[in-house]
Amino acid sequence: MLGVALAAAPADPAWDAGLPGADEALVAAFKGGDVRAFDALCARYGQPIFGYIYRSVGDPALAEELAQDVFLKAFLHLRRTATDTTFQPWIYRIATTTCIDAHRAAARRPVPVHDEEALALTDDREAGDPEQRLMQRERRRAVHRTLDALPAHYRQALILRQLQGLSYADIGEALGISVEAVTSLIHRARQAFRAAYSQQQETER
Amino acid sequence: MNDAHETLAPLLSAYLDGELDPARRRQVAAHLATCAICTQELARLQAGDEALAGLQHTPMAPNLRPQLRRRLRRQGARTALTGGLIALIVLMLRSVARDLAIVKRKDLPLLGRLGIASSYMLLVTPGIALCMELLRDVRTLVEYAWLSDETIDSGGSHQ
Repeated sequence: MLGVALAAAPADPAWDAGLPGADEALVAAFKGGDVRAFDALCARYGQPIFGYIYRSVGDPALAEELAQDVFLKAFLHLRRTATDTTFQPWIYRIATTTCIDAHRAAARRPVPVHDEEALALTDDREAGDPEQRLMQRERRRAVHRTLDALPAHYRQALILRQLQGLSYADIGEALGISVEAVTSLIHRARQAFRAAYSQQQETER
Repeated sequence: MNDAHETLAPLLSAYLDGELDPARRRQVAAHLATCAICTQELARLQAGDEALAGLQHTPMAPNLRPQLRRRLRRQGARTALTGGLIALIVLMLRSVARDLAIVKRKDLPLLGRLGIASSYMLLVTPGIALCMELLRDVRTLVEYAWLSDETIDSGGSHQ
C-alpha cells in the first residue's frame, strides 16, 4: 500500500551520488518526510561504514551487527540534527562511538583478530600467481596485526584517513576534536604504526 | 635542532596528506630540502602508508537493509507503546485536574492556585509535545519499515 505508493514516485535527480550536495538533498528530503531518502543514504554509506567498522573490530559478523546499530541510530536521530550537519562525518561519528562502545563491552576479549576466511576472500579478488597472493596475504596479515595492536584512537584515526579517505576536517567532526588535534593525532598514529610494523617485521625475520 | 625543525617536523603527515595551507606547505617543502632527518622521516611515513594501502580491500558489506527494517519495526512498536503510555498519563492528569477543578477553588490562596496551575502546565504541555513528536517518529518508522522490497532493491544498488 504505502510502499507501493512510494515506489511509484520517481526519485529526485538531486539524490544522484555523483552530484555535489547529494547528501544534503537526501538529508533534507528525509527530514521532510521522504523515507526513501534514508534508504538511498543507507545504500550509499553501507559499504564504507561496514568497511570502517570491520577494520576496527576485525570480525565480519560483529561488523554487520554494529553497522546495523549505526544506521538504526542514524535513522532515529537524523530528523533532529541541526541544519548545518554534514552527513558523512556525522555518521562516521556514530560509527566511531559504536566501535568504542563495542570495544569497551568486550574489554576482556583479546585484541581483534581479522577473520582468516574474510582475508582469504579479499585475496581471491586479486590477480597474480598463487605464490604472490600468498605473500600478499602474509603481508596483509602482518599489517592487520600491527593495526589491531595500536591504541584505539590511533587505529581509528589511521583507518579514517588512510582507508576511508576522510579529510582532516571530517575526521575532526567524526572524532569530536579540532583539526589541529587531528593533525597531531594522525602524525603520532603514523609514527606509532611505522615503528610497530618495522619491529614486527624484524621479529619475524 | 633548530626552531624550524621543531615546528615543521610534526606537520609531515599533514604535508603528505595535502592538508596544509599553501604557505605552510612551501615552508615544509623548503625545510625538507635542507633537513636529512625530516627527509628520512617522510620516507618512513610513506613506507607505512604503502603497507596500509594493502588493506584497501574489505569483505563486501552484506545487505543491511532487510535486517534494519526488521529492527525498525520493533523500534516502531516500542515507540508507539511509550507514546501511548505518555498519552495515557497526560489524559489522566487532565482528567484529575478537571475533576478537582483545583485551579478554580476560591478557598485556596492565589499563590497556591498559581503554583498548582504552573505545575499542571509544566507536566501536561511537554507531555503533549512529546506525544506529538513520538507520533511523528512512529509514522516515519512505519513508513520506512514497510517500504516495499521493490523500492529497496531499485533504490540502492551500491551495496
